[in-house]
Amino acid sequence: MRKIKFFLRASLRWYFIIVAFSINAQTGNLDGLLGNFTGYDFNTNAVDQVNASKDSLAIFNQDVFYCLSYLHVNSYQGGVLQDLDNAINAIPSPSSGQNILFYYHFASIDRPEVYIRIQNNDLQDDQIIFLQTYLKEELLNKVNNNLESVLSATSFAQLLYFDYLKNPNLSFVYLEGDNSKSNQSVFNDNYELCAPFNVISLSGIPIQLEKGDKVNFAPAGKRCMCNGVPLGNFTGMAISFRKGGKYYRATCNESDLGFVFGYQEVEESDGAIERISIENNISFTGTGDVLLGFEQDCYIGTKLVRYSFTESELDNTARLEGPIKVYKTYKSQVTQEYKYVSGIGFYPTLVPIDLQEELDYVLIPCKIINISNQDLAKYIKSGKLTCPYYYKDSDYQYFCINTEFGFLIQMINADGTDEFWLLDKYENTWKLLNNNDSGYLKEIEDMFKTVLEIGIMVGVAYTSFGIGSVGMCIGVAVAGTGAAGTVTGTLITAGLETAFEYGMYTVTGDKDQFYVGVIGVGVGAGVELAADGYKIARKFFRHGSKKPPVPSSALPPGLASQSDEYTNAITFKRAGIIRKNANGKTYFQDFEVAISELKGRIKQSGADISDNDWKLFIQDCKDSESNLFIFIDQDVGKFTTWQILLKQGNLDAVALRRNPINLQKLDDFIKAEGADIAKLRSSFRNTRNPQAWLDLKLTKVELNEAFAGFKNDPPFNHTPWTKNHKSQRWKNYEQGCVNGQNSCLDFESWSNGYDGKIDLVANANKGVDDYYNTLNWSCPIPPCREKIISNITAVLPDGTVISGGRRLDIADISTKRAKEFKEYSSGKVYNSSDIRREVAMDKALLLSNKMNEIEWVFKGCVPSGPLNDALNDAGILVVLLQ
Amino acid sequence: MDKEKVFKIWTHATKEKIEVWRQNLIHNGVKSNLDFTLDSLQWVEEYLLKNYTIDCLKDQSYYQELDRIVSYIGETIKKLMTNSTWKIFLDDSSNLYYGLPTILTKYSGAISPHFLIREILTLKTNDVLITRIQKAQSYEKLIYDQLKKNKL
Repeated sequence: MRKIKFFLRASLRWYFIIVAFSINAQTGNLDGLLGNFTGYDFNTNAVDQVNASKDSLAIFNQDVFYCLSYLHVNSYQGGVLQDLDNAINAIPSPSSGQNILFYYHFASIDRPEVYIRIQNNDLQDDQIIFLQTYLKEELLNKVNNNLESVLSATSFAQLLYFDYLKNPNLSFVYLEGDNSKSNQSVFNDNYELCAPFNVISLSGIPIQLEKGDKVNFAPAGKRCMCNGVPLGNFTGMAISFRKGGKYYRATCNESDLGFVFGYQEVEESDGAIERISIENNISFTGTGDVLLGFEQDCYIGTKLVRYSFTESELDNTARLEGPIKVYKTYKSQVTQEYKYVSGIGFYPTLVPIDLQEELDYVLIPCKIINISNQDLAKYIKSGKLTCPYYYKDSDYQYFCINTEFGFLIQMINADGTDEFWLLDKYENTWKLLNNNDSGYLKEIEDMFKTVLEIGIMVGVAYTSFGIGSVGMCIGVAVAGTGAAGTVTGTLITAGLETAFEYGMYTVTGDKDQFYVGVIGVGVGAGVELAADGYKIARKFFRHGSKKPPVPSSALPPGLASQSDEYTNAITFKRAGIIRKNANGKTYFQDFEVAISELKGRIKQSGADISDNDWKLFIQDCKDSESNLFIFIDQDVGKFTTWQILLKQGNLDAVALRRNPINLQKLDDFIKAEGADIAKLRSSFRNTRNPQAWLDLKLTKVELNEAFAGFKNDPPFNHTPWTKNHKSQRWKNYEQGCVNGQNSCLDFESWSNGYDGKIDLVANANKGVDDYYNTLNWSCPIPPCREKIISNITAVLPDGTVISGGRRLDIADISTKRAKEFKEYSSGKVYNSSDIRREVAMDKALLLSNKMNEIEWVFKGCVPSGPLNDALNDAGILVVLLQ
Repeated sequence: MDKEKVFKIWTHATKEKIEVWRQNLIHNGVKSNLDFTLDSLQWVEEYLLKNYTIDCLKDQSYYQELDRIVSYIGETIKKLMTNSTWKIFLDDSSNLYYGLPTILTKYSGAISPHFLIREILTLKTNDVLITRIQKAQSYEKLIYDQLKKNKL
């Protein structure tokens, strides 16, 4: 059992990695300053994962500015809230279903501060402000200037809770214990306080607990046990809660796999302090309820990073760091999820959360299969079975993970004896790790340390599958949304925020293998715990990929039972797809067979498929990160749309046509406007800018909508060959048609003509670019080309007040200089209405001190007399260039 | 979380941040007069010139306080300029103030405290804030008068 304990401890420690982040120096507007205030990155999402440390304070040491722990309290039925100063005496009773949301903002150690947000629709602003102020003051009083010691204290604890029923007033309690300096536990063996403790209640009198005071958060004389062994450093507190007149408390016992904390009923304590009573929403059934981890959302800049951790032993190396997400399972069904309120070094307070709401972060799947000990070893040894894996029945249980040294398996016999095996992948031999084999243990431990250093975040899920069978699945985030509806008893917490868009997607492995998941379930990749986890995590962060490659091997179909949909759903195979039959049953189909069958259907639809086109299509299907195959498979008519985007040797075109979103857009355009396919193919082959060509495939309706969005905000200084520009020009053309000023081509013909001139825009911009380059401005705040200043109000010569934005061709914000570049082939620039608007806007910029100097540069042309006068009147300098 | 939401949270925190700054100044024995007046902005400018250089804007260790100062400048302008609000421009990345908290005035467009801080530390004239705000106020009046005249 010692090895079990080691293993579990090592595993748990592994799960308790806290990734330390740093924010790269941003190079957005105004150097780093403007992009990084208080961690809010307004310019980019660039976040790099640089290192990780098992030091649980890592997140506070780095520039993590914005960590949120949160509590949702549904069905709040509190009454009147009173504050200590009676400043608030009439807070309306929130009705059932109201949410109260607390945000805690912990700053870094050297900048201690705590922000609190309270959100409640039924609270008036001043009441919320009061609460915020009060809480902030209280927390700051406790934390300010001492944050480091507080946070590093093994015993620091805080608890916020509402006591709905016992007190008609909304109670708010903050608990804090700090014994970091004394290096003692909060409690001694008799649960007497070893350090001062503060209890502050909004609804009552603040209570100061002194050293030696007795607190009944856990029954006296008992300690939290793990596998029957008292925890070495129990420095937190067991939170009790009351239900039906009885107290429950968080505890730890052998029945919960030794490291899962369950809840068990305990005798009602005689505590002098009124404590937690979350009555309305928690319905524990007994020891089947397990805590599975906790989560903390941290915003690094604007990037959300969700830290998730599994249950800990609450010792010095693996203490709780944040909110706990609790999943309750009953007979294979996820019946309820709970989320813990904030806490450090503390047990959770549980409140229910909306399961659906969390699905973006729920990762699946895991698997239970029933095979013998021998078969297990055989499959693993032959490489046909992918860990992680857990199996248990009345005779034995296995726990298996992949390590960089090979598969590590713990085999536990019915009598409690266990064996610890390592399938050494270098020597390809099984090795029994015995008590004396410290070498391997050391290696494994080192591996975990390595993992800690490189910063893998992993999640773990525990599920209860009824009597006698408990499954566990460990994995790194790989799957997507929309999954939980069909998942039974499967829970994963993930170390990364991995909200993927598609329930079905394709992943590409090391050897260009093609995996497809099942809609509504997501792909269950056989994730290798260490190596793959790291790769995925790193790629996810580095590249922001929503579909990380999964280079691990899959669980071969046929090995697992195909008896139920769930099993099918999580099974996938290389170079194949999973389909559903008419009855909704999934089945596997080899890719080659599937693609051949698809070709037949495409031909039947009347499409003309050349050998070369088909070759490219297969390659696109295999290489596509998005699911081109499925897209075409669902509607073979779209194959011709895909063919439009064929352009020999053009990588942009390749990228475009592999993305079903682009194909859908083009298809929508064709259908809406009845576009000629042949003309589109020809037009696309001739364009030098495939992306812009596609972007401008906007329907008449879309153009009208775009125009409606800005028609009241003249002048229209839209960049040529953009959506807005096209919509404005279309409107002009329509008007001109009505007025008889121009011809009246149909929309498709006009649109083709407009799109055909896309390449000209490059020439127009080139003139300004060339001139700008001759200036040799240092441009300390780039870019200095094409800057918009919004919301300018100006006065036209006739007294009309106009407002809108001004796009400056060239502008150096640091020196407040700007230049308007005019290059008219006609040789003269007249004081037209558009020009008058520009002059008025520039005048306003000068008058309001936003610009100190504005020049109008005329290249190869001159201003008309009236324009010249207007420019002079506005204080705008005129420069003529040959 | 999208930037609009982040911005909303940011704006909601300005008053708290100002208060923290005020307390920190007191704690550090710095006499201040943060009463949201034009005069107080003069003090802020002096404070910036005394304690910061342009290079500080590249040093993240200063951002915490700078963010509080930005909050103060913004909130003060908000008070001094009638009908002005916090605003962030996120539609067009070529916008001068793209992605930055600004104060949107009624007629004088947006004013960015971040840009103002840079200008203060660049020009070192000790009159950037007052000049800018007085000009904006004057321009507001000009437009207001013009609108009134048009109406008449």
